[in-house]
Amino acid sequence: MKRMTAFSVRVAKETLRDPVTLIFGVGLPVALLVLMSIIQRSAPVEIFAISRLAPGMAAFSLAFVAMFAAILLAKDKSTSFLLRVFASPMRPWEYIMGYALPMLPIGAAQCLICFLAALFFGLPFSGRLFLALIALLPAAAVYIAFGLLFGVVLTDKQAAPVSSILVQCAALLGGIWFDPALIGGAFETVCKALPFLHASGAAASAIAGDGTGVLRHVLWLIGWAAVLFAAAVFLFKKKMKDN
Amino acid sequence: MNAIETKRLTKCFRSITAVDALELSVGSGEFFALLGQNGAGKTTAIRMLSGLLAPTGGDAFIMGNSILTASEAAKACCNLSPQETAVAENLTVKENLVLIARLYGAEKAEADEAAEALLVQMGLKERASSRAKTLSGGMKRRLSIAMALITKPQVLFLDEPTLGLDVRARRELWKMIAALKGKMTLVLTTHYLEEAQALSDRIGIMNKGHLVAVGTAKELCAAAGTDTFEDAFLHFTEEESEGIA
Repeated sequence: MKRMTAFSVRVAKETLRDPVTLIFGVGLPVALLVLMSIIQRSAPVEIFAISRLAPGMAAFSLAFVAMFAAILLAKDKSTSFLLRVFASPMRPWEYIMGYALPMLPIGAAQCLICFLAALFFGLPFSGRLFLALIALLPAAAVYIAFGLLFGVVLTDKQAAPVSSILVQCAALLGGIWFDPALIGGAFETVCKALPFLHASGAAASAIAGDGTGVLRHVLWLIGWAAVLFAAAVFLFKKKMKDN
Repeated sequence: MNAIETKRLTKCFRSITAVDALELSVGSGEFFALLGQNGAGKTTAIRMLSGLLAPTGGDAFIMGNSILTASEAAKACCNLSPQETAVAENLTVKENLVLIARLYGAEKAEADEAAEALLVQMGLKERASSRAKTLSGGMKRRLSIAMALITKPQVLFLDEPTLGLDVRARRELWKMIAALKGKMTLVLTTHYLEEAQALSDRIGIMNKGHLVAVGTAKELCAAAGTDTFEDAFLHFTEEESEGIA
């Protein structure tokens, strides 16, 4: 536990000291939220209503957590830092949790900042915002697991571009810019199967006070998180043996 | 008790045998250099001994702990300075040292104290608060070795520690490594023959996964019938021959 905590602190420091974290993780989602809210004032569109846009942007900001985790892990591999850590008496679960745990508060802080920004654009302050933050935790776990998977499998040069594709998927398939039901058919089915739409859906349902909706989306996200984490752990252990 | 004892230690990667039935003993406090051409099996051997690679066959004992059945204990009494510089770039020099100490189980205060002492010992005190990414190549390598030393290992593996450094930085690092002699068991892999000759007590030469010769530089020259150590090295790595005791 002591070793895992020390490693988690290192992961948090390395992530937060990288300016990319602030620019993309917080700056971009908040900038988009502000921009869309200003457009919404001039030309109102249902999907950009702050009650839908704010949870969407909060969920979208979590996609950057995957990018942070992937880049850090891939870089650790390329610089042999991971080799040094593997040579220590730490156990595999301690490494994995060491990478994963600090990303949870970072993700939660990103969501909180999105909601705080949204308050200035008319999002009513209520206890449902805290529920939305909690409902987004399984989504954070999904993105962290994506990040670990990418970090284990990809090189440090591949991690950033592939994570960017994930960020695009989170935006385009997550129901933030348009409702997938408008396209319907196979596209809507795929969107519903993937976790992105459920991430924004969980937060939106929480803000709308729809408990059943929250549960439906959260269960789906937990399923995805479990599968992705299992895959990440399996590949991480394999990577350790192959060193 | 020997610090390192291997018993037919073997590692195969599919059809390639990287290390073949390695039998090696390194005494406690000894400075042992492992030489060989690229692909000879030096790094694979070091990785197995430091618990990074599971052997395909055989076993090895670090301070009496089997790498197969007591791997955690074996890992706890050794440390490794990998071939490439392995530091956390966005942490400060001191934070890097404290981190490694904590990963080996040290309490915060104990880790802080050890880091302070090592900063002075390794000439890194003035850069203690600098981020590792701002250090020069030589300083980074020094930090990398300091990170291996902070756990006070009984056995320290130095995998090509001076690779890629300029002459001055290499000389400084040599001095630093020479100062460690006698304080712990050191296993050095290197391509610089003069480095091995100048620093080590005994030298092992690996060729195609086999340990083909072991002895002091003088003994190896005598066994090969050559005047220089470089010629002896070429002799042993051109064709396999029986090692000397």
